[in-house]
Amino acid sequence: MFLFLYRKVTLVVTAILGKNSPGHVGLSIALGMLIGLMPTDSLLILVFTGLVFVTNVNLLITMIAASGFMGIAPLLDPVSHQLGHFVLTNSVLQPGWLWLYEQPVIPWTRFNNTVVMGNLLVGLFCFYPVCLASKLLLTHYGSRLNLKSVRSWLPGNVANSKQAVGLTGAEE
Amino acid sequence: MKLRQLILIRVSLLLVLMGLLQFSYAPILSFVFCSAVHRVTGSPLEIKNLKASPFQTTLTTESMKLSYPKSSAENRLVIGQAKMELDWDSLLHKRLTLIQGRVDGLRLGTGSETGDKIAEGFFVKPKLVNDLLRGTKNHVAAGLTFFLTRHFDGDLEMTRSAQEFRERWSHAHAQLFERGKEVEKQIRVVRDIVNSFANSPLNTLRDLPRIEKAIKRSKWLRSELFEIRRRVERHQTQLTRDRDQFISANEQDLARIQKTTMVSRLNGQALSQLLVGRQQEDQVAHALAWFQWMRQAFSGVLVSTRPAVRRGQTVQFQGQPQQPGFLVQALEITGHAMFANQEYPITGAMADFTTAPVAHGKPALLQLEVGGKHPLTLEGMVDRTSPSPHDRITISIPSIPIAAQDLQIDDSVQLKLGQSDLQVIATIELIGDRLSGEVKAVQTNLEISIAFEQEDLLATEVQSMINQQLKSIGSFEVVASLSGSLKEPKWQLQCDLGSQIAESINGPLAVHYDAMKNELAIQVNQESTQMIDATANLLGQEQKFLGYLREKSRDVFKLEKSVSQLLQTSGARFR
Repeated sequence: MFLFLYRKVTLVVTAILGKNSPGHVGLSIALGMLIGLMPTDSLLILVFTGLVFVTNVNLLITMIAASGFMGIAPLLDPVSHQLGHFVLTNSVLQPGWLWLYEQPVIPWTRFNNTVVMGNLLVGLFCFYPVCLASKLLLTHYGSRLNLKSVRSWLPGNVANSKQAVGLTGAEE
Repeated sequence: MKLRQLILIRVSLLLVLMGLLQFSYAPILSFVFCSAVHRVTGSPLEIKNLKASPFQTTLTTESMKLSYPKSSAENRLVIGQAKMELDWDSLLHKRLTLIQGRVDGLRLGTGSETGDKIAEGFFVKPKLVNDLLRGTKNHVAAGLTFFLTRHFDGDLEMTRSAQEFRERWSHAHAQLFERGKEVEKQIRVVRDIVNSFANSPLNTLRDLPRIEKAIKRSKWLRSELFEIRRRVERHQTQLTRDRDQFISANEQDLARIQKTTMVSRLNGQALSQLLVGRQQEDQVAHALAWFQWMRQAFSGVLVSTRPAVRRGQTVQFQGQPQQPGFLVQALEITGHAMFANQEYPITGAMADFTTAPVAHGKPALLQLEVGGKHPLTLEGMVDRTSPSPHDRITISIPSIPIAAQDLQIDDSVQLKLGQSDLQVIATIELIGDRLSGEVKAVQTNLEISIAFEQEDLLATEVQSMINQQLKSIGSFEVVASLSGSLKEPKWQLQCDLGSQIAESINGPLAVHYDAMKNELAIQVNQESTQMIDATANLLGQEQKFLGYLREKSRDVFKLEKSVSQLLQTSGARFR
């Protein structure tokens, strides 16, 4: 019985942590950035969170990244406001925005807010560069700072156990 | 780990998150509701046990309390249970639209007396434009008591002349007759003396004193008769003058009676003020207080209801339709309301209540029916679709029993109003700050009677006449026309009760007045005729008396002749 529960918990933790390859971690950070840049009253946060759940990115890293970007997002507001205002008030795009606004659920995204639109554009624009930069950084420095190193903090018999290897997501 | 397992676990986590959303949805919605209502009414709202789900459009609550803006300890209204159905499409478009709802167990004014609260917080005493009455109660009846206690016959010239005539002639005439009798007596004495000498021979020494006495009496008789005759002639002249005076006094009195008019008339308008002014003032003040409350309660609607944006700016696209973010399309209400320590069942409905009336384009409507002993219907409209706010309230009360009351309308005159029924229809409109409308009250099954406190009033007869007339009144109508502003409301009273009562009193009084005039004229004529007859009678008597005096003068002349013959016979001489 205990072993059964232990295996299930291990499975859940593994699922939360997801893949720890540099590519996956880069994707996690980029998605966390998208979530963190969005104002909290926008439905886009839920959309991006849903995206996190349906992909096998690292949830923990995504959450950490989102929290970090949430802190610095207000600093970007002046720029994102200018950008969002330019895009939203562009007369060529107006019919498209209007059509979009009249669609169900879309108004809850508050895309007609200058900061939401600006941060969305900034986030989408920076998505691939952040993803790529994170991957490159982890490729070079990730061997020193990965979850495998956690095992070195544990007592020998525990660290070498099969369970610890499974928890840290490291391969045998 | 297999991909299938990973997806399964992730989906499970998503479901857990959705479950969390399900449980947190109600508190979030409760917060949204409280914020919206606070923004609209300015009053804090407390919701207990809100049951809602993001996966269904129906939400229910067990208890809601709306407090007063300044005192959250006192409740403006309490709602027991509420069931509301939201429009899914509107929700998807980020709009909260309540298609249909039902509120049960509504309690108005439970924390404190609503009426008292209104009176304390919002009461502005309206100024009565035609307030002629205060402190001048006696002016209402315009000296009715004076009129009723007035004695007409006190100032008549004929009465005065007749009195003088009687006093004058009652002694003067009798005195003359007395003197006439004395003359006749003395004539007999002198005649006896003269006759005594005819039967026996004259003895000068013996009879001289008697002859002297006869001579002196004869002289006195002559002068007395002359004096009496002179008096009688003077009396005749005076009597002729008196008769002329009676004729003149008669004409004078008749002319005066004819000229006398009933200047003391009951002032109908002022009487109306006295009778219904205070009652109507209270009704108007109460209706206005509700109006002020309604405007204050919906003051939040006047300001922009677009929520403040913390970050960025919300862009309005070209051609984007204006639609309200919060809208109550229809809401049924049942519950109880507390007024004057009494609980009344209420039912009603509210429609088109929104935080963005300009975008909605329709005014908010409220309809309430208050049951209990004195049912009433209230219909309210709050229109904020244009820059100038437009409010209207219609209150209809089919029947209120009014207790009997006594009203002192003059020093001695009391008006008694029996039990009656009152029907009130008030329609008040406020466009901007300009107040208009009317409060109409119809009082039916009314019994009015008048009572005079003083016994010496000519009242008993008049009272029965007036009361007979007052019985026909039965009902009356009071209309208070409103004007001015909500801060300085003015109203003008129009009531037919005062004029009806005044007519009922003035009419019989005028009839009675005319009857009294006719009676008095007849009395004056009769008295005049009597006095003229009395004068003629006296003149006749005086004439007869004059004839009598002439006859006696002849007797005295004969006696003097006889006495002078006796003197010649005796040879005596007297100085």
